Amino acid sequence: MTAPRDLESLLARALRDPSQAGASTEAIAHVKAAGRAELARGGVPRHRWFSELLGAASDAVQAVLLHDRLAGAAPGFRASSTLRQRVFGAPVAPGVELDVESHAQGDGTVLVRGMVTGSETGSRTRLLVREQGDESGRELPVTDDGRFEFASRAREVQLVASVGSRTILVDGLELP
Amino acid sequence: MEKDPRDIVERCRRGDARAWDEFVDRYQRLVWSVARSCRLPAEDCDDVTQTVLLSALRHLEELRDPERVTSWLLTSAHRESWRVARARNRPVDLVGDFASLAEPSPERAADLESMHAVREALERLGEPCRSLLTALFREDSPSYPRISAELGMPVGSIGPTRARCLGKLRELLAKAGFGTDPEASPESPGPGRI
Repeated sequence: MTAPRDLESLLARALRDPSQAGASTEAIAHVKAAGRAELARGGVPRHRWFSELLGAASDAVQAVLLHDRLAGAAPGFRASSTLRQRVFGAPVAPGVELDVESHAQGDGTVLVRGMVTGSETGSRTRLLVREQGDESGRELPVTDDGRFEFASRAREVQLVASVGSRTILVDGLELP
Repeated sequence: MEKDPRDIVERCRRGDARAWDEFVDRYQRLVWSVARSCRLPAEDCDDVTQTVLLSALRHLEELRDPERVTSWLLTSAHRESWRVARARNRPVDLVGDFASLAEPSPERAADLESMHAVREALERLGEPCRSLLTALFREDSPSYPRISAELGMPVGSIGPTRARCLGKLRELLAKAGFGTDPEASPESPGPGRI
């Protein structure tokens, strides 16, 4: 963590900076009520599918991928991203990258192609995808060189890539 | 505000509604500050705060190390702010060089995390330190007589109490992993001199 070099100036900023004002009373009340309602419906959702995979991994990595919206794009329009893996803010798994491209198909479907690179030679790569409304998810076939492909109509999907002993959670891949 | 983040997260996982309220109270300002630092208007910052906190609740089970909840929220808040700004066609203040627009720059994240830590430490200080430091640092050149009247504290004891409280605050921050520069003004005049 970066040390606050001057406690008094930091204290003054924390108390005076407009960015530190915090949410409105209404917003706070609303989010508390919404959270309580969710808890009353059965507590924090148990994503067993993720938990089992993450629990077994030595390095759980969360990465975020945002795609440009392709809604209305002509077939073949492409967006691509390269993920930088982090464990909730701390960089880990150096050298392992997940490249993803989305191709608008023109019929509301998006073809997602990707490749996991940088994994150790001979290590097994597994990729699982969960779409909105599909809590169970499904495992995708991955080629020996780390390539994968799937089509989806969902606006958001979650991916988990397991590379050898490392796991990459791709949260919130936004699709058109 | 004295609860360990691991305790709050664990109780939320067990469905403790009171823990959820504590979670919101503890982290809403941090999330809001990320959105605000992306130059979103206040109402959008409120939206981002609600979205991120509720999303956090839904994904608490995936958080393997509750100690990292702050950086987790920072990243999520930055991502959501970016998404909201994009949806509104607003320019986003993207500072620093980072590979993914969905992640805050390390400098920004450290700065916001530091201010969050100071606010948390201030909450833990207890009275009269919390009220005194808040009164002394919430504005430029505060009047000691006015603070004396507000807090019922003799003017002559404000200075010594101030120094003692800053020392306690520094200790709390050090325990939380935030070192401070001992030469950076424990005895400096500060904003509260008359």
